[in-house]
Amino acid sequence: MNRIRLYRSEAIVLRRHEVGEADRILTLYTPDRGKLAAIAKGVRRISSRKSGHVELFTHVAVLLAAGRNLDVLTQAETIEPFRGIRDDLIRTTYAYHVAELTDRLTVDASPLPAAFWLLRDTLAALSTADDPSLAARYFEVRLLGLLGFRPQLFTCVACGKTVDPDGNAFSPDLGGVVCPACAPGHREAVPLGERAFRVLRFLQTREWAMVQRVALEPATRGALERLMQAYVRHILERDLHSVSFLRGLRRVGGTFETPSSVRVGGSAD
Amino acid sequence: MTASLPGPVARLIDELGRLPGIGPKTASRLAFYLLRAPNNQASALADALRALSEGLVYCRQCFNIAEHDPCAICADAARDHGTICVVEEPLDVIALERTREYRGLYHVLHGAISPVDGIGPADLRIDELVARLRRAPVRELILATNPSLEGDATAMYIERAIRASGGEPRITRLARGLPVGGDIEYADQVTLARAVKGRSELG
Ligand SMILES: [Zn+2]
Ligand SMILES: [Zn+2]
Repeated sequence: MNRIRLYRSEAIVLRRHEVGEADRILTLYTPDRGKLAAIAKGVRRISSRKSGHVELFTHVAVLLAAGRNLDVLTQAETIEPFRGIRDDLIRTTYAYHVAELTDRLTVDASPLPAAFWLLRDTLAALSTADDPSLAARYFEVRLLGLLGFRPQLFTCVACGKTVDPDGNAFSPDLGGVVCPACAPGHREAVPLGERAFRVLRFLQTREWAMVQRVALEPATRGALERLMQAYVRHILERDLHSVSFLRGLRRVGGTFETPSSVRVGGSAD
Repeated sequence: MTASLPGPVARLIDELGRLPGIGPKTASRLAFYLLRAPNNQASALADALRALSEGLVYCRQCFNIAEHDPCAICADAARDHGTICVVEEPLDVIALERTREYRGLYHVLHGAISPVDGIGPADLRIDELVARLRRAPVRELILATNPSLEGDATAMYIERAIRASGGEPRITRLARGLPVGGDIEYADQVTLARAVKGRSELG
């Protein structure tokens, strides 16, 4: 008889799809094995012991059996369910966004523990932060940095000179700021106001504990969202599904993101 | 592997193999079973399949699959037309009907919101639900989407969309608690927390 090789891991459930009668294939992101797919048998049955533990975006401890094609989930126990994400549609949408970004930017079996902890901390932030959009932007800037797409925000990507905070543009193609002198030669670059520029640098260089105190004005929030969207689109050569979904939410419901949920005061400078 | 088989058998194996949960091996086994089965069994299956594409319509009120439009449930005057239960799939209607607890009408979404898979509100029958409620307001709307993240997101979205359109029905969600036959020690935190929140009076 073959010995079954079992291993333990922490994981975050990035996505899942249904197969067979009551099974699901899970896409898990783990600290030591990176992204991996595993089959969870019977989890669609409402009586399944495992199903609640392998919900999307749950931080879970799993026991997996190495399989020929797919590893098989044998045990699952929730470490942190991030309940705040589940009770609020906007937070849910941002969680989809960070999971989709992780899934699209990483390949199977190429571990990057820092990306796992960033993902976990971001889900925690999304479930409680006053402004979940800020946590999403923080995640984007940091994850891209870890994966070799760190936005260049200190010197002009065209001429190499140190940039002042004012009057720059951001080139998604070159992955960084273009100074006012070089900007006319870079039509693809989007204008980057001083405020958004300072916030971007802050996201890149400070920890979340500091970043979460930043209060974004709606205009800056919108500018940052468009800028990161353009940069991610350039890297992936397409938009994320969550982007159009968020757009749809805003169209239908009007103010899903109520200004009252965003703290006032604090500064990014 | 189907290349050396007679055309009709190969075609059947191909078609069966496209069904969810059926691999090439199972497809071959089913095809050869049908080949050897008494003659009327294969033709009964063929008739049933043909009736599926020719004899079925979507009810234009509730979007359940039916033999007639409106469906038997929508057309039943004895049912409570002041309550609509919103479900993801036609199979959920069957499951709820089996309980004999529910006497209202349904609305079938045909899926749940799942941004990662590119399934948004526009892919579901949500606009139709909003329009239906405008046409014929109800007392209560029961959101019976699955107790999953997708089901919850869909329910929250529907609630927002209805309120945004000025709809004022009472909106409820199926009670979420512990599965019958389960052990509390195996329940996840979210299920257990919801079960505590939704606890009910004894007796
Ligand atoms: Zn320059
Ligand atoms: Zn009907």
